Amino acid sequence: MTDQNLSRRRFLQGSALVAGGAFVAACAPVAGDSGAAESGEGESMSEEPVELVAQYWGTRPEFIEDREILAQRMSEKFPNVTASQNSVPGGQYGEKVLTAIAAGTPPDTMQLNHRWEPFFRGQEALLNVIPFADADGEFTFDVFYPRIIELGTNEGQLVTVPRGWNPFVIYYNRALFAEAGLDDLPTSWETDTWTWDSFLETAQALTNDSDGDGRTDVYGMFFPYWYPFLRLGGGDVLSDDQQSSGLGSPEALAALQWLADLRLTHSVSPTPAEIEGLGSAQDLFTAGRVAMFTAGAWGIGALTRVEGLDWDVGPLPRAAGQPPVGYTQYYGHGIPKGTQSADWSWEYLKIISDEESNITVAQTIGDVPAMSHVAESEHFAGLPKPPTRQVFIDSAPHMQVWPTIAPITEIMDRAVTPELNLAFVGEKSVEDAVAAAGPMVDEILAGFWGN
Amino acid sequence: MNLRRREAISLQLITALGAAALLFPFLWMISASLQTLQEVEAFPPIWIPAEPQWSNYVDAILNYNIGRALINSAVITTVSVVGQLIVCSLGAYAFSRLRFPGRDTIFLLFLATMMIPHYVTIIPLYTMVWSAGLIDTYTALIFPGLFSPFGTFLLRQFFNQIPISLDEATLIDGGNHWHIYLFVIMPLSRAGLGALGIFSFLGIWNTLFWPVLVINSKELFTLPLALAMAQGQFVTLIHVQMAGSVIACIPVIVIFLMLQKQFISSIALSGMKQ
Amino acid sequence: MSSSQAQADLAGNGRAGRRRPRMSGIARKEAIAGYIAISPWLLGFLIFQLVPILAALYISSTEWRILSVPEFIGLRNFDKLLFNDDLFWQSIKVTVIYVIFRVPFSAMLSLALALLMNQQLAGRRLFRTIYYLPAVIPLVAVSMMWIWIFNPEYGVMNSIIRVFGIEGPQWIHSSRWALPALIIMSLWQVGTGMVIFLAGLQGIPAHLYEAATIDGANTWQKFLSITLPMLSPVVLFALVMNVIGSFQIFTQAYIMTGGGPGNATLFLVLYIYRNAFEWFHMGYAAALAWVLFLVVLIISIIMLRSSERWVHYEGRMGGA
Repeated sequence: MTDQNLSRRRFLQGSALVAGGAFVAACAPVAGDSGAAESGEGESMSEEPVELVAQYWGTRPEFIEDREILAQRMSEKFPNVTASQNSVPGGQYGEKVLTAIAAGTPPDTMQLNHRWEPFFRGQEALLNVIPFADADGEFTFDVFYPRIIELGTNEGQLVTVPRGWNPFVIYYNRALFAEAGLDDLPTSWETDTWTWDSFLETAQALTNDSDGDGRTDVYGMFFPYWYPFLRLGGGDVLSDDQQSSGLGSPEALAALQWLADLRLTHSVSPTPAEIEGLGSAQDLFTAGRVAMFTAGAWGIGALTRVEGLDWDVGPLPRAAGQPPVGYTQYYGHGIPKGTQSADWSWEYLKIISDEESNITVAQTIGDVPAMSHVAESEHFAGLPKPPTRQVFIDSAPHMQVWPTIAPITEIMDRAVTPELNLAFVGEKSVEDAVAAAGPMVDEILAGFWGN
Repeated sequence: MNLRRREAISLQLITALGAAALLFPFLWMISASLQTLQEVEAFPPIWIPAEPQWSNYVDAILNYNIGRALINSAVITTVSVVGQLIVCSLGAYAFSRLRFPGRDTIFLLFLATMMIPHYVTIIPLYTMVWSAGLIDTYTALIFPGLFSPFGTFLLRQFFNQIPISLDEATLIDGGNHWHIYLFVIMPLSRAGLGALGIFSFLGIWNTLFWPVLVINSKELFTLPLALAMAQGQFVTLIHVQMAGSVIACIPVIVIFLMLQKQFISSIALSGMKQ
Repeated sequence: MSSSQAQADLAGNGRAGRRRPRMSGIARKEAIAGYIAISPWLLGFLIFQLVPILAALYISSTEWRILSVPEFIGLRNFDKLLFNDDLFWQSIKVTVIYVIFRVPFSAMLSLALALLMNQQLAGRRLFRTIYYLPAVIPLVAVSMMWIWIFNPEYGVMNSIIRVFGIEGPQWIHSSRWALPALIIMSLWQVGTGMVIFLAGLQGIPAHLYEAATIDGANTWQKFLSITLPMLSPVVLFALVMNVIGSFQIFTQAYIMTGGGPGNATLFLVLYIYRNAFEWFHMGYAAALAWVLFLVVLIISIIMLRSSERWVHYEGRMGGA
């Protein structure tokens, strides 16, 4: 008779019914736990009318249009299916999905990325898609970049069917490079002369105060993301065994110190105050205030639309003694447990992840498609801007991703980022910041593993 | 007399200066709604756009379906405000004028509910609304907001300002509590009702958190939902968002101008002069 | 009964209860009318407010990761936040400082503004609207504007300070000045308080002022002896609501500072939100919410109880 026996859903429904008795709740349908078919063969799919909802984040018109097409294609393929999309602004995705799942009404498919996959996987809220794929004659994982599948597979479980990925690269302003008498960046990730030292020298050559008023007008570089550099330098937030903070390692400390110095010692990167009002890194870049910045492939779409901007991309620079690191963020879709029919969800998921959909990712959305042959076709690699699109694709063998441990968001937002931000504005030394963050990371990990 | 005049002039001056400071962001919002994205993002800010981009408004209305959202928001807000005024004034009347067992306990209880952030009650509430089959309906947006503790407390305080002798006069004339409520309290609380009208209009008009959860169909999107759509993951279309915000502000300002008549009365003119 | 008397005191309203002894028949009729009047409200309140809150009370005694079954852990959440969570104490500290500075200043400002707007001024209606505008503008636009105002190099704030030959602080980019910046920003939104006070001023009978004028009272005396006491129920309302509202500060910090730099603006509700929807510790978030609830409730009770001494209800004092 402990409270553990009371399931979450029964508890919530209980409380709902107590209150709902006052009005119409009593006769409302209550979703059961069934339908979470663990295997692809499961029950045969009926011809009964079915309504399917795919949950997404992001609400730009081109996203909405893309998803509308996917829904239409699903409805056309299966005449008894009415497929639709549900898109919310990125900031509201968590509330929306969590609330829906907690209430027992999960969407039929849901979008996932490095931010959401670890948590939902950790909570065992997603179905393993491998059995579905095995049972499905027309589907294979071989068409995707093998490294994405490899990184996404955890103890034989894969929860995300990938759709696109965002390799981080250096975007650079060719006109400013020419003005400073610099050559274009190399195009190969293996180039061993493109190092942190040469990157700093390049940034220094680009940084200048053109009107001589004592204020820097063009900054050599801007790094909105510190994590890729931590990985480039051979460090990580967690130790290798994921039992404690890894920030205290010599590699991590050196990388973070190097990043802090870019701003505080070398002044080649603007402080948050200096770039205020300019929104994102690519806005600064477009305005000509920053000569280089790091971002994923999403920069392509925005920059291509800017007329008269001469830009290109290059690989991330290598740290001394470290192999090349192609830091990336991939995204895709998965099937929440407890959907009305996992088999229908799988059918919808297949359309969301198919070749035609991958072409849309390349052409309309501007990310790198998850299917390698689409990425290397005229739909992505063959597009004219930027000239060296191959840089994105070539990062694939060196692919590294955001940590996949379930409490990673809490580790980052609660323990690490507030401290490192103090170090990056010079209020704290890197050592002190890392020393303060470490025990908090350890504590979160202890709570996680202890459970 | 001279001193009075000087006082009046300096008061007028202070008022104008303060107003200018407060107007600043509003003017910027209008200006930004007419700029290109690059102009909006320039720093320090640009005040006069090189060429007014009226197309931002067209963009907001067409691409983000602001027109439909305006109608939805208008319906939901109007029903909610009227409902709140009725429900809260009845509750406030009881708390102010009637004696019944448990009155003050209930009052304290409802006051207390305002102190719990809704983030922790939202999932149970959502579950209830879902169990009632109300997800993706106007009702889900209107109903839970009607029982505002804020509104009841506000009106109760206004009702408490009204002399009890007026109630007694009505009772002596053979009236009952409905008469007092309808013919004494309500007419004399126009200022309070007007204030609550403005607050609840603004509150419901701007709310985003709850509609995101319970509304799925684009046809039912409210204005804040439609505006949030212009907020991209990596790029925010600030200029379009500002155009939408200007459109969203206009009804609130109109409502304020309409209701503020309730705050000007002869008392102010005769009594508070100097 | 002394306990119900105490509750009447708490609610700041012993008015109807204390004065006239009535026949029980009338009292019963009044009670029935009372229940009828509050029944629509009470029903909705019970369903839409109380049930979710009771659910949250249960949730606070569980470890609930939202997607899994809530696990009952008794008071462990409270034990952790009281004795083992520096961020909780940081968020309490930051929130309390904010409330202490914000509430009195904004109440005084909005009262002054309401009095000003009640004067015979040219363009009064226009000014009134302008003063209310800050409450109307979406917080995104407001926050962007304030980010500029506080910009250390180009911002209005530091430009003014520079006139005195001092280099201003880094404001929202400094862990020392971010909180003061948000407090200053909050004072700018006094329109709501102004409207409440303005509405309250309309309820003051003009004959009181006329009588006082005949007695030779000056403006200040009239303010102290008529305006303030007559306005006191509304002042109480404004203060209580302001305290409740200030404890709930969230959006500005969420947009402008994200709780930083280094947790310098990690307000309690922001911390609750993060625990609930970013770190998925709904049980812990609910426990935090109950602590917030208790803190605000105690302050409100103190305010309501003390209000017996300074709030003047028209019925009770028998017409000044």
